[in-house]
Parts: sequence; structure tokens; C-alpha cells
Amino acid sequence: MSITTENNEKMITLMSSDGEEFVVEEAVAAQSQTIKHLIEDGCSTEGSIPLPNVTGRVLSEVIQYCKKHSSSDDKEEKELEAWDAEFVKAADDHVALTDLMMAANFLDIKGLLDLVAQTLANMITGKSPEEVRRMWNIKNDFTPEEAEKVRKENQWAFE
Amino acid sequence: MSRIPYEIITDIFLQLPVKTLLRLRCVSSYLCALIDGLDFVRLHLHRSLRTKSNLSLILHEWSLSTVDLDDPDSADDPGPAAAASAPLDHHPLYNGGGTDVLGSCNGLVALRNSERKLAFYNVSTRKSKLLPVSEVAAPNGVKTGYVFYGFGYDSVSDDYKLLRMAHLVVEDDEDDVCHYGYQVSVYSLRTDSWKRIEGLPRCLNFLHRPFYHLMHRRGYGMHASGALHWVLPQSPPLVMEDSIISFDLGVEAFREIELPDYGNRELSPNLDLGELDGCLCLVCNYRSVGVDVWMMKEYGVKESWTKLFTVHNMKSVGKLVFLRPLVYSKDGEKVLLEVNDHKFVWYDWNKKRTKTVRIRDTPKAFGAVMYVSSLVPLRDDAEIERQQRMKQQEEDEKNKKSDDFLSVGFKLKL
Repeated sequence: MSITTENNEKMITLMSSDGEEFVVEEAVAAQSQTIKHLIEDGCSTEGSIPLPNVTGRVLSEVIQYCKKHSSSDDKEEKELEAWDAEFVKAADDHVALTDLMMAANFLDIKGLLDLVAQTLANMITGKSPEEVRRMWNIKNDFTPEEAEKVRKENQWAFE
Repeated sequence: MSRIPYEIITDIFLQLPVKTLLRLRCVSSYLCALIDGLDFVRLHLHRSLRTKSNLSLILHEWSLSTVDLDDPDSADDPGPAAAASAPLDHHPLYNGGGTDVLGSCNGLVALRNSERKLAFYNVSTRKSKLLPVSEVAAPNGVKTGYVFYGFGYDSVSDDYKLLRMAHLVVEDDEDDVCHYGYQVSVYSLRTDSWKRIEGLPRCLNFLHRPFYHLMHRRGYGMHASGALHWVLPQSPPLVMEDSIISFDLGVEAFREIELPDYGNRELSPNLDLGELDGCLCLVCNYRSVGVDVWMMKEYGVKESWTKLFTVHNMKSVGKLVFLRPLVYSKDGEKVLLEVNDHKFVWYDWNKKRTKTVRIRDTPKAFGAVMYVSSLVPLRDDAEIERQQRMKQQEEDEKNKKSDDFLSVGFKLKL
């Protein structure tokens, strides 16, 4: 489905995993390499583009990011940086950020991926292994002996 | 939240400092293998170099200290202005002081206490490798004079190498020292052995100590584009052109590198070498006038020498005796300069503005070496020994068991 706005912008519809529909300008959606390729391959002519890995809540955030970044040019770099900082601050906790990062990964939006990765990296710098396990539900598969050995290899890094 | 895919963890982990990564090896066996994996090590290093992150300085005076450049870079415009130094006392040659840094590359540094006490060290993972001793084989009556070193990476065989050029001298009856020749050897980390280099170029004979005798500029080769470099000083009575001698770490051979037409040779500037973004730089110091910094953008191509910027004498510094570019800022608009062995200055060449970096607890005078914090592995000597001991113990145990078994068997037979 393609609609054209008054400004002659081509519009496309994105559908989230929970069935929410978002109508956006093609230039905005094409910030995502994945969507861009889908459009190029003609997958959008049939109707909306389904995005089975992304929920409506996350998709609306992603679109917010893409809108901002497709309307700004290089001259506004400083302002854009400030906007990015606010944007990740709004996502706030690591669960929301991880969801956002998974979406950015699936949709292949490099700028967003780097931004969120850096934010998450800042969050876990200084965290203990236990805290990181809890954060992402990672199972500790070391035996106590192995764990002790691995820890001893870099004991000073824990001090 | 659904399970986090590992490719996403990789993307996040690539942005972490080395110390955090070493701690996170304990999270799970998969993450441990990920962090130790050579692909990850390479990606992490390249990202740090590309984004100018995880950078530190090593200051060497009598003892060594490190200055983390990462924290202050997030401070306000125009760039980092303050940092603290921390003593570097965990290296393998630590002996209170007197350790020299011969060079730095990809997170590894080469350290020297004496010609017999040399080590490679990853400052960030604290793994080290002591180099085997290789004596300079001088004929009777010939002594070893000054020893030049150079440390770098050979991408052809993915190896770290240390070049040693020992100046051989003869003392005559009046105790005058005469030049005899050079003996050159190269150590390879991969083979853990030294190798003599033959077929030395004649120009090497012009590499002499006095030129390099200034404090902290002890003639350690400048590493760029897989080769080590030294300036061959002007020798006015010989009427020879200045040039750069280079040692290619891949093919292990010397060659000469042509200098740019840097202009006013009558002013006979002091020439020095530096490195920025992997490219060799030439520093032409016209003393009272200022300093030009040139870059060879395409390695080995004379025409690619480009003048990057000129630094005029700064009020805050006084006369520029010695200046060397160390690294670009993250935004690429400034360059960090080491000035007169006691100061760091961020220089914005467009706005011609300088900003002194204040570093707490620094020695009065120092030499500086840049290093990038990396996970590049060194087979740690202590660890190898520990592993060998454990292996030995296991084998002893096994042997004991089979001995017991055999003796039981014999008893039965008897």
C-alpha cells in the first residue's frame, strides 16, 4: 500500500508484532536497511510491511528516532546529539534499552544500534558478574571450581 | 524480556573497557569464550583505534605512571583538560624504578631494565612475557656502545617484534671511542627467539648516539605502517641529505624513506618522528620560529607527504625545544601534543588555539608513550608455569595410579 502526501512524500505502513499499524514516510522508514531492502524488493506493494519481531511500543520509539534523524542534516550535529541523549534517557531501564537494541539490530539501523549499545555499555561498566547475569537472565554454567579459576586469572580487576 | 541474542551482547561488549571485560569473563562460559576469542579481541582493538577510545599515556621518568585519557574527553569543549596519573607498579620488571618503555603497539608495550632484562607487557590485562636473553656477540676488543630498540607489529605473520641495534665500538689507547659497526637482531614473540639481521645498509653507520641523547628521546624507533623508523641526522661535513631509515617488520629488512621537501633547509630544523592514525609524521622544529608537522599519507610515497599544521611558539610553553603529536581528539579537530618533555597540550589547528592538559601528580619532566588498552593476549609466563606444574602433578598422579595398579597386578601374579 502506498499513499502519497501533499508534499508528494511516499508513505508506507509498518505493522508491529501485536498488530499496531504505523503510517510513515518512506524516507523515514528507509533509515532501516531491512525495511529499505523490503521496499526495494517490492514487498510493500501488497499492503503493510509486517515486523514480527517488534512490538508496537518499541516500534513507536524506533520511528521517533528515525523521524528525527531523517529530518536533521549534518549542521545540527550538536542538537542531534542532545536529542539522542534525551531519547535514550527516556527509555530509562536496561529492559527497554535491550528491547530497543534488539529492534535496531533486526531493523538494521546502525546509528540507533550504536547509540543504545553505548548506553547499555555505560550502564554495565562497573557492574559485577552477578549483576550482569541478573540483568539479562544469563545462566552461570561454571562449576564453582571453574568460576574460581576464571576469577583468579584476573583477580586484580575485582579489587 | 526474551533471551538476549549473543550478537547483541557482542555489540555492547565491544564498547566496554578492558577491565570490565576481564570481570565479565566470570558471567558464563560462553561470554568467557567470547571475550577471549581472537575475533572479539581484534574487533575491540580496531574499534578503540577507530573511535580513539580506551587511550592512555605512559609517562616515563625514573618510574612509570599511566594517565587515562578517556575520562576527561567527555568533559566540556574544547576537549579534555584534566586527568590524574597513577603509578604503573604492576609490570613484570618492576624494581622501584629504572624501567624504560621501548615502544607501544596494540595495547602491548616493550619494557627494558637492562639489555638482559626485557619484557612485553599488556598493561590492561597485566599479562607479560619475559624475553629470552640474547648476548651481543662482539669480537675481542670490541665493546657494546649504545643500544637502539624498536617495538612493533608485523601484520604479515601476525607477530610482535622487538628490534635491537647494538652499536659496537672500539676503545683506543687514549680511551677514545671509535665506531666499529652495528649488530642487529630481531626478537619474534611467535617463535620466542632472536634472529640476527645481516646485510645492514651503510647509512646505518650514521645513526649515532649524541643526536638521540636528549632526555627521554633515547632513540627508540617510531612504529608506523608495520615498520620502525629513525631519523638519520644531518652530518654537515659529509654533505649528505637528511633521511629516515626504516626497518620493515614483515620482510625484516632496512630501507630509506624519502623526506618531504619541507622547505627552508638553511634554517636547519631539528627533525623528529611521530605517528598519527597509523601514519608516519615528520616534525620539523625551527626552534624560535615554530614547528611544522608533516604526515606521509601513503606509506613509502614521497609525494604523499602533506603538511598537517604549524605550531607557533606558545606563550604558555615558551620556546619549543621538543614537540611531538600523540593522537587526534575524538572529533578529529584537535591533536594532543607532547611539548618540551613536561607538558601536554590540545591544539586546535583551525582556531589556532591551545589548551594545556593538567595532570595531577606528574613528574617534573617525562617522556610519553601512547597506548591503547586492548585484550591482545600474551602467554603469561607465570600462567604457563602454573599450567605446566598442574599438568605435571596430574601426570604424577596418573603414573602413581598406574604404578599402584601395576604393583597390585604384580602382587596378584606373585
